[in-house]
Amino acid sequence: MILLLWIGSVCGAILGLLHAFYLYRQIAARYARAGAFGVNVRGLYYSIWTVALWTLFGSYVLALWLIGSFVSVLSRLILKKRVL
Amino acid sequence: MKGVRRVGIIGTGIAGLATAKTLSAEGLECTLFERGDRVGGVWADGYSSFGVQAPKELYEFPDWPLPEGAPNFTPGPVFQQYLEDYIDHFALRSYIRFNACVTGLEPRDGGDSGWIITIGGDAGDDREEFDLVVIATGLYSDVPNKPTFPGKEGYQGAILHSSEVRTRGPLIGRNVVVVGYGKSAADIVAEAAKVAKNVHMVFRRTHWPVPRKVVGMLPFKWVGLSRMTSAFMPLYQRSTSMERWLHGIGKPLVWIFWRFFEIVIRLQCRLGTEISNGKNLIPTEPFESDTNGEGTMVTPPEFFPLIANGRVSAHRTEIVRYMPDGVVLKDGTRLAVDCVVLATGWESEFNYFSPDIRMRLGTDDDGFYLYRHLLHPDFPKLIFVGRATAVSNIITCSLQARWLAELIAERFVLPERADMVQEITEIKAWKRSWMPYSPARSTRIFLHAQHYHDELLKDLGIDPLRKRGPFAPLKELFAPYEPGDYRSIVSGDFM
Repeated sequence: MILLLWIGSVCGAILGLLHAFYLYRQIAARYARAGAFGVNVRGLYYSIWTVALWTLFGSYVLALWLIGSFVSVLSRLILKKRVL
Repeated sequence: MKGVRRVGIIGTGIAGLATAKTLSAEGLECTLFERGDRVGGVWADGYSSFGVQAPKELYEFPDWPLPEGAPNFTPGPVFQQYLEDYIDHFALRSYIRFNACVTGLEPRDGGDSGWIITIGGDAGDDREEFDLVVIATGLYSDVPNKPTFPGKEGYQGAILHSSEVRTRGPLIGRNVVVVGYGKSAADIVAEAAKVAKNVHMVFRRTHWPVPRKVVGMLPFKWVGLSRMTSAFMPLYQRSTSMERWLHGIGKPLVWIFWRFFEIVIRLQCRLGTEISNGKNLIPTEPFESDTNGEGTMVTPPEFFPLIANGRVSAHRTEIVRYMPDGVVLKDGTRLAVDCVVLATGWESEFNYFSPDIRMRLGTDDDGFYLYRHLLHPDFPKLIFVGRATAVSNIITCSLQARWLAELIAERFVLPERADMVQEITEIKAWKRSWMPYSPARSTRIFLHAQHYHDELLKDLGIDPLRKRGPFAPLKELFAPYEPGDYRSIVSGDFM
């Protein structure tokens, strides 16, 4: 359980950084089109939140992803068996 | 859009009124045509117990809140009065022509310089020219869809469309069958259960309902109307990289989210209840695609209990013919009924167009497709406001009106014709790839409304992230967008 928590949080942090980078670029580009250049404070604020949320909930997302993967494959197999 | 001064608006529902308010505030001369004797569109013509199926904080004009004390899930008459007050507040009444049924709409010089509206009246036809015409007649008030079945001539009972059930009168003490499984069907069934002798409901397909409160606690807007839910819907036509990742490697998350939601709805609404012939109410389509079909509805709280306790007999089949004293169903059941209510929706025919124009707009059986759900590239001065269905379409109509005002003022320009045609081709292919078929599929956006609203704002160069405050990023993800979030845009104060 602790291992899952750690793995999930690390995965979450990595995904969070990627997502944060993407988000910052989107927001900064929008402000640049409006003529505002330099460090985008709003973009930075949203990025920090993004990293924080992903890290905090990373383990839950990982657990749900694992459960979802298992159950979806199982349900497809059951449906296939019914059809056959 | 050079030279637009006079605008003709057909329809005085929320779409027509929002457009008139926005354009008249820009200094344009607006004339609204209403075929009836009062405003409101579908709100003026409502059936008995008609009301808004969204909570009141989601269904009000962004710049004109509902009055304090207005009931939640606003009843039709209250909403109708709200529209009358809106007209008076924004001084729109003098722009409205009542009892003015539009019978013809033809282009002036090919449509590039405007349109000519023909209005039929007791004194004969009248013709007026406009630089731009807005069609704001919506999807729920043109021609009632009334399916016919063999034996109709011999049937001795009443056959009504849902729009004709204005009071409980036609239902009192009668054996009633309601045909359909949409919002109007559920509302009329609930009404009939209070006064009719027996109530039957006949439908070919069921759809996933949305309870007013999920698990009896969480208002549905928190589950269904957030950016997060939008991201979990089948990929939008122009999705972001993150959404593509979510639906790629993150697909199990999406799958389990919707399957969990279906389990909750199934249990809460008792969809497994056995109805006639051993069938039940569980839909066959997954929630995330079914919700973009015809029948998704926020059900009256009493609807499913009425079926579960037997007060309403539900039949998952269809009518094959009338008998003199009732109807015969496909599964062989004979129902002795003296009142048939067809809650089977509407058809949009646009009979005022010439066959040539109607053909050019599109004759696909799932409706004609428009650029930004607003205009056809061949007719840039013919705008359809209100042809994008969403849960809170009052927000959608208001934003569309603002989009149009900005376009007329040339504060942004349309893309080239070829690009608009390409966009329409892509959205057609996108919708047909996953949305269930319905005659109005071209208009459906529903839980993708957030994406659509963002697109309209990006066209105007406005930041689509509207939440404010220290917790704005959290609100952007989890909180539903409400009309108030767009107040400054709709009122024009964003510039």
